[in-house]
Amino acid sequence: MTRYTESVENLIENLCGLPGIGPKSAQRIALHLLSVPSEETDRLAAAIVSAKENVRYCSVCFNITEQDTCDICEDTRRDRTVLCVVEEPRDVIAIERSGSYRGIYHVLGGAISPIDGVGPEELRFAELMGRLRQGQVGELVIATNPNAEGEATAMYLSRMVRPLGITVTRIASGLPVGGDLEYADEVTLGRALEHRTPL
Amino acid sequence: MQDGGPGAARERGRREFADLGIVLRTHKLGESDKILRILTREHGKRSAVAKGVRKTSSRFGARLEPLTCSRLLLHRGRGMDTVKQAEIQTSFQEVRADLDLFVNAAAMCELVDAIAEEHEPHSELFDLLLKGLELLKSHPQRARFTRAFFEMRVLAAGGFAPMLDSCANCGAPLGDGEQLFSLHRGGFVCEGCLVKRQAEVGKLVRVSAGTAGMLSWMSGHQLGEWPDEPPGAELGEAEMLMDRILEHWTERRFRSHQVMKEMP
Repeated sequence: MTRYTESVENLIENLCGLPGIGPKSAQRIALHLLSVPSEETDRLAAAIVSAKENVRYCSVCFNITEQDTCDICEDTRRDRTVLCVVEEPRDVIAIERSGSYRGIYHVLGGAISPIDGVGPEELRFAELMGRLRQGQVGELVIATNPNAEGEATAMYLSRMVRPLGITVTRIASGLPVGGDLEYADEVTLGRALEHRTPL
Repeated sequence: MQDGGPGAARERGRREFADLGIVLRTHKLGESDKILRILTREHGKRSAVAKGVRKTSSRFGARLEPLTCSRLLLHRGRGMDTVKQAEIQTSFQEVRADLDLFVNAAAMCELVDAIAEEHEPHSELFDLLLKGLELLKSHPQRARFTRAFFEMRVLAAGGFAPMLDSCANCGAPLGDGEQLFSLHRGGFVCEGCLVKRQAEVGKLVRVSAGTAGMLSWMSGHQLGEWPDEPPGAELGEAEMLMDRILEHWTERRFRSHQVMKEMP
């Protein structure tokens, strides 16, 4: 026998389509699922179906939610004059975990990457501009990733938003807390020095 | 001290190699890794995994960002290489920090990625890309001209230099004034061929005399030289023609060209 049965092959093939899962990992996960009690696999299948049925994008900020608008957009205690732009819903979670931000969000759904054909029209810029034109936001915090694509997105946003008279800020980047200076590359260290703050 | 004794050290030596490399593009892989497409100077285009590079604590930091030219130590794998070490030679941070420069640089990288064969040494192409990025950095106001000039030199390096000084179909001298470029023939064609042999010359792109002169200048000079007169309105037409030629030559549409059109 050089192949698994049709059902197992089908399971492996479907697992293979998930991000970060190669053929070997897919095979390992499939064999694991077959070895556990049916209740466990039923629970997993039900969780996938339920998430797929109930989860949608917030109609305001495009974060993940189970209602029409997400908890953050619904929260009246949030500062609606500060809007933070992120690439993905997981970035909202990361910023919320910091406990240092009380404003609202906008999830773009990615970052500008010319070589991959991802331009402004593929992202939720039009929706963001619509929100900003309502006039409530006074500061736009750009929290895209500090990589080439994230920086390109930040530059594009800054160019588009400045004419509206809104303050545009970029989250700081530089040395990670707990790291050693000698291991920092020259770009990171250069930016850390460039954006140094008075004590 | 290395693990595994002298045999293992020899094996490691065979599988590891150092080279200069420019990161053309990156893709996310798994939780915190990236797959890099790199053009190396001596070992051609490579795909390499950079482990943990997306973590803020990564030892690679900005060393493997797109456009960066780094001295790399790569470990040959069965499918892909693995980046073991990286030291920045030129970061090109100034190019990444300017939207227009970045988009032009991305178009240059996309072209190189499209034409470079995996693992085939392309030192001329590497030197052209490095020079092109250096010019974007040193002469940001000439970014569009640099990209068009770079594309012309890449065509020439690939053996597809457009024929611009005589008819690409019959070899007859060209008249003054507007010119017609035959994508099929790879050069300008004369009035005679246009009238008598239309089927042979195929689809034509009309350009002004100024644009024809600029393209002719580019084909006779090296990247880094500048024309006496700064390019004017003809630059847009030259860019359009170069894009058409590249699409015809590579039989593909360039994604970065589309994104460029969306820029404010």
